[in-house]
Amino acid sequence: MDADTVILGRPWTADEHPSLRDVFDMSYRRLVVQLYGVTGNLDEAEDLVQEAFVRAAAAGRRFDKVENPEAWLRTTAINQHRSRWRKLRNGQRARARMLPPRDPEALESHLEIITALRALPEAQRQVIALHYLADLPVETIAQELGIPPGTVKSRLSRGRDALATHLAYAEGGVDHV
Amino acid sequence: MSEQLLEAFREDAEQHARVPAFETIQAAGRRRRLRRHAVVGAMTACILGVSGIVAGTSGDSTDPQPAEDPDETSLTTPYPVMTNTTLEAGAYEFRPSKDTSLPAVRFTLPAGWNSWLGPNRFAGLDDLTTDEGRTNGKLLVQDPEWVLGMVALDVKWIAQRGCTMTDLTGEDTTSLVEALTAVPRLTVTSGPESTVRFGHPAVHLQMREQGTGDACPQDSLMTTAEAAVRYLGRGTTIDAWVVDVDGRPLLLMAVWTARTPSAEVQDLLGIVDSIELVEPR
Repeated sequence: MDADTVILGRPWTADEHPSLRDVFDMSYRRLVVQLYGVTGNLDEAEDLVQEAFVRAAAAGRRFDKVENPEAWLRTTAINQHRSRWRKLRNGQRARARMLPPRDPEALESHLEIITALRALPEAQRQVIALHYLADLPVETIAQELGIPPGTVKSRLSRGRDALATHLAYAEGGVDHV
Repeated sequence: MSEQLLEAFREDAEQHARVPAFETIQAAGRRRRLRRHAVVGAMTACILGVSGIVAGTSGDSTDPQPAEDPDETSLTTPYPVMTNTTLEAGAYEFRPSKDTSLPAVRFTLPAGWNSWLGPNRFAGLDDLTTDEGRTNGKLLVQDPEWVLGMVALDVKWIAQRGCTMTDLTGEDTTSLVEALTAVPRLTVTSGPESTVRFGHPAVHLQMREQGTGDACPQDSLMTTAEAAVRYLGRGTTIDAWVVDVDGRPLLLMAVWTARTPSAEVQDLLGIVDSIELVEPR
């Protein structure tokens, strides 16, 4: 096991400060998928995560003091999504992209779950994404979104039911009583 | 069922996520930080401006003053070349050569950089509070623990193997790149790589200064018509861009010594990212 594997293979300890590069290597892909779940839009997710990392880079040494860099980046991206959503409604959006072209077939086998996620109301989709894609417990989701834990639980419950219904329809229908 | 589908989706999506170059993100962050510094600096200058008018009527100041042109470049300050003085944050501009076929170099500085051939910083600079005009220079020649800086050069002579200096007057970018790869005590660690930078075709290469095994009498690695650039010591990194300005080579270098803190290097690279080559005013 080489030095890189040792560093990347375990969580950071309290007296270690990962560089932004380390955090980027460890968390970029994860955050994009989490934000994809939150927003239901992959382009938007990539933009938001890039913007969060640019803000971290602009913060310079102040970012080194952040206790949980991935949580900071996720919260920044989600907050940006909330404010961007307001702007989008006003028809304002322009951002240079930094990425190569996407493989159009890469996620074809997951169209059902992607479609089901997109069909959820925004509030339910957020908690479903943070719980199942970011592996966050209810209390942490409540803190990150600034809502009561009870609200998180009820949104999770309703979101799970809605997902199941959407998936059942996609599989060929459900029995109605 | 939905949990399993979500898990499978997460695994595949993470695997297929497109990842941008980290350097692009980092450069965007640096540019944003510099812009913020520049705005704060400009605001501070505006606030201090009133007292400056009252107090500034006696005595000459070595502080650079904003240009008076009422055009869009009026926020750019002429760079005080070869004047050791601590600079305010802001946009500066200087001409690297008397040759008018070469453009002026405009760049944005955070607060606290020293002016010389190009902007630089060094250990101890932040501790100076008085008589900066003379003390910066004194400190700089006392071999501070670390030094870094940026220069834009119209190279005339360059050191070559065998303790010779080669005349590059009238030569093109290819000749300058070849000469750079043969400078004594410098080892090329990256490149040369053709690219486009600062709006022009350019060649990028990075070099590292080695020991003094082939010590030569001269301690300059290159000279312009006005100044000489000297070696800074083993472990010094030179990040160089040879920019092709309509066939004329302009050399832009970011240089930092071995013990320079990485945050300082990041600021330096941010300054390089801010460079624009513009028609001289």
